[in-house]
Amino acid sequence: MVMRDFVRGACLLGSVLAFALSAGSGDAATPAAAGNQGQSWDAIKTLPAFTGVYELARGRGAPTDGRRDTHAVYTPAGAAQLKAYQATQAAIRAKGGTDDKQTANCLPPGMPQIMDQPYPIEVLLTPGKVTLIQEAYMQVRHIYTDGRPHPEDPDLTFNGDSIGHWEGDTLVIDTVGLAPESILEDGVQHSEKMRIVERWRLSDPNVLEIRTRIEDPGVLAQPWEYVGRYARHADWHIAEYICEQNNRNSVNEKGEAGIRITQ
Amino acid sequence: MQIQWTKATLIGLAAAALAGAAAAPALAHHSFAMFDNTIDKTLTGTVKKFDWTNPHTFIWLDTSATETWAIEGMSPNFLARRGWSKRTINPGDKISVTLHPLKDGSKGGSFMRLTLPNGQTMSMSGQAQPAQPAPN
Repeated sequence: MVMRDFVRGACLLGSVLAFALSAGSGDAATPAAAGNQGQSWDAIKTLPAFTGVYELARGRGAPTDGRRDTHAVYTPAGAAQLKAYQATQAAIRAKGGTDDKQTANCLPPGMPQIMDQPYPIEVLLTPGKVTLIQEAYMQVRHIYTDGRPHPEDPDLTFNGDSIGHWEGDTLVIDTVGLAPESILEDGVQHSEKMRIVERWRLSDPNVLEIRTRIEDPGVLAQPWEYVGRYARHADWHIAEYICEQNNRNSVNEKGEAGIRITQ
Repeated sequence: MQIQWTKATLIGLAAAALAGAAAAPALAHHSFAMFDNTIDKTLTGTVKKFDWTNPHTFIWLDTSATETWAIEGMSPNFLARRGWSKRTINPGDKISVTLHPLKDGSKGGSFMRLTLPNGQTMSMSGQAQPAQPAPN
């Protein structure tokens, strides 16, 4: 009983401290973390065994069909963008053409779509850092778990600036600083205020469940939340993926697709 | 109980992978709208070349002395995990390939399945390996 009270007290104190620190930094999404934060190799041993290769489960009967299981709710500005994009697509198709997007030219999709690819990911836990290697487009996400804050004015990048902390068995990742090229959804331009919070946990020893929440006051009327489940493949390795090696697809500035089938 | 649930999850995920892999290319690096997915066209010919390359494999198939078709498939990464290798088809092989042709009528298409000289049929999705348990 005394022990329980002590634990409860410690938790409460931790929460108050976390709140005070987060209030101080003005960064409510990333409160100072309590508990095991994986700051040493020994500490990592008692964290969930995330390290491994996974692939997003797809298809009928899969938990999410490999796609987002919910739809975004857009602000009027966001909805107007989507409508204009769909009209452009329709116009291209009416001419007998095909529309496409930046990835046809081998630009990666950035966050959050880089997490939806039909290729595996590898997660590596090291002291103070979680690394995600994405086979598609040979992308790497660097997720710092050493307690550092985001840079005050981060450069905008495809995968953004990610910091993470552990809440028990769940890794909470906060990502900001996303470049205009990062695709929220085809046809909708996110704002510089887009923020992505992911909660990673092993819902089963061989299933990495990622719950994603995207906020963007510029185009999203409410946070967009969805879940993806990634199946562990213990005998897979991450292969090379050089998109420019033999890319015969293309898209021009009008959004029209092409394919080169001459040798 | 925990173990049973784990197995059920794995079986479910494996079944999902098998059932749904055909839908995966739609999520890949480009749109497949340029191909007419209402038409299954089967060509017989001799393999001129097999590009085992990213982001897509290409089978170059001579269907006559003057006609060569370019048939786009999923990446080697994707196919290698589903029973393919760079030696699955070889120059000189006489094969039959079913594809969705390009809508514009040019000699190209999106790979569906093929029959090898030994009669074996290969698709892009039929041989996905199920998820593996973690080593303990």
